[in-house]
Amino acid sequence: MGTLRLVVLDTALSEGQALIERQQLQLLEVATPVIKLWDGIVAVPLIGTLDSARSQVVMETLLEAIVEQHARFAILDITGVPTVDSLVAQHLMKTVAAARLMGAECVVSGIRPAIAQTIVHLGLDLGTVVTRASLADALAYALHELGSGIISPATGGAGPR
Amino acid sequence: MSEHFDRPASAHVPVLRLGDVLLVTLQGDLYDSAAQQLQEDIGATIATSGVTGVVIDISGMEIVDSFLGRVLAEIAAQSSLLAARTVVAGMRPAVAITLVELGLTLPGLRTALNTEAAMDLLARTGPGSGDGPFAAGHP
Amino acid sequence: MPTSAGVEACLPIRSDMDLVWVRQHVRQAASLLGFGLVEQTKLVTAASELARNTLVHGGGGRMDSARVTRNRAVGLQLAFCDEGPGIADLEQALSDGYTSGGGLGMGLGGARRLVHEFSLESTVGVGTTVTVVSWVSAPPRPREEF
Repeated sequence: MGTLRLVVLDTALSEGQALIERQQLQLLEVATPVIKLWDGIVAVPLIGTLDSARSQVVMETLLEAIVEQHARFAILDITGVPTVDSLVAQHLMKTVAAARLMGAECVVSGIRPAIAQTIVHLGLDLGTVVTRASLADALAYALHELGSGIISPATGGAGPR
Repeated sequence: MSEHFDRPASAHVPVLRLGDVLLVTLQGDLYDSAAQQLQEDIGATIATSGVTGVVIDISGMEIVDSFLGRVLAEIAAQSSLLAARTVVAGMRPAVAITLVELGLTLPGLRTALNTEAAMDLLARTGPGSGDGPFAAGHP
Repeated sequence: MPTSAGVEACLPIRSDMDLVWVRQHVRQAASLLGFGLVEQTKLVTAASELARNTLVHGGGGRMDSARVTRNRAVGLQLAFCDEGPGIADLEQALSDGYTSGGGLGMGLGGARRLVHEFSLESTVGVGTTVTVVSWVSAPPRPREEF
């Protein structure tokens, strides 16, 4: 009786495992939208845990978008990423390096204070990667580099025409 | 050798001159010897013509291995000694991912999305400006 | 289900022209087996590095390519053999930045990162064989059948 229960439990568990693996694959496809923010600027808001397989999908999707949109800037926003370990940092660095080889610059935004602390504690060197606190700051940086900017009508003086 | 290999490899790569810029378009597969020949041709052309920029369009390359990566880096370094700046344009995403995985990030190399952006980059930075890709980048 | 036709081959590696044949064969075989574009590019690049290694350090040799299966997964296996001087220090040969030729020292170690499985057998004075395998989609994990 005990053995039978174990076998049933085991079967149920492995079926559950198979279902989870299928759903993980499906999630990979849908969880990586690339958004065009401006002419020449694309962004990927990352939400949830980044593992090796997902990082690969993110990298490929972002690089394809750079080609399609003729983007000189790509923003990786990690506001929704709960933790950054050395593996995730390494994937971010790889994406930045690949984008640079293609002629685009990557900006990593949304690094929360806790994550910044973790990165420092782990002794990770983000080196040449351009980072900004928020997506808005990253967009402002990219616009500035492209030679344009956003001026609010009140302070900028130019009213709507 | 075998009839289903229908894409011949390039044995010679032409170097075109457009004003102050040399334009080189790499396509298909490349013999190692052709890559080395190209490196010599570019050096000789810069020395005799006094151009200030070199654009290498690799959008037609399906792979770049460490050999070709080294050749590109050396062309850039050698052109720099002859006072010309090199921009590698149009690297495909799959090629970029592979190069990074291979461990070749080519940090000293200037890059652009396509030849137009490369020409733009050369015009923006102007001859004689610093070495950084965005040095003196304000119009 | 793809068959072995167009995948199985034994190509000589004697000159830099042979490197072109090796790359084109691997591209075609990987495409036939259903590898995605990025995986194809990684495989062709790895093959190019290893074939050049065979040519430059092994004094020439050959590449055998074959379709392999494991637990219903399909993969491409490439073996590069030479009868050259062999490698005395495997550890050193695989480390990044180590070079005995004129390259950037990324050949062996770099190629290892581009494939799923990598094995190197070398006997000093006898020769070297590098065998690599990549699987279509993810590398198969041993798992019970349901």
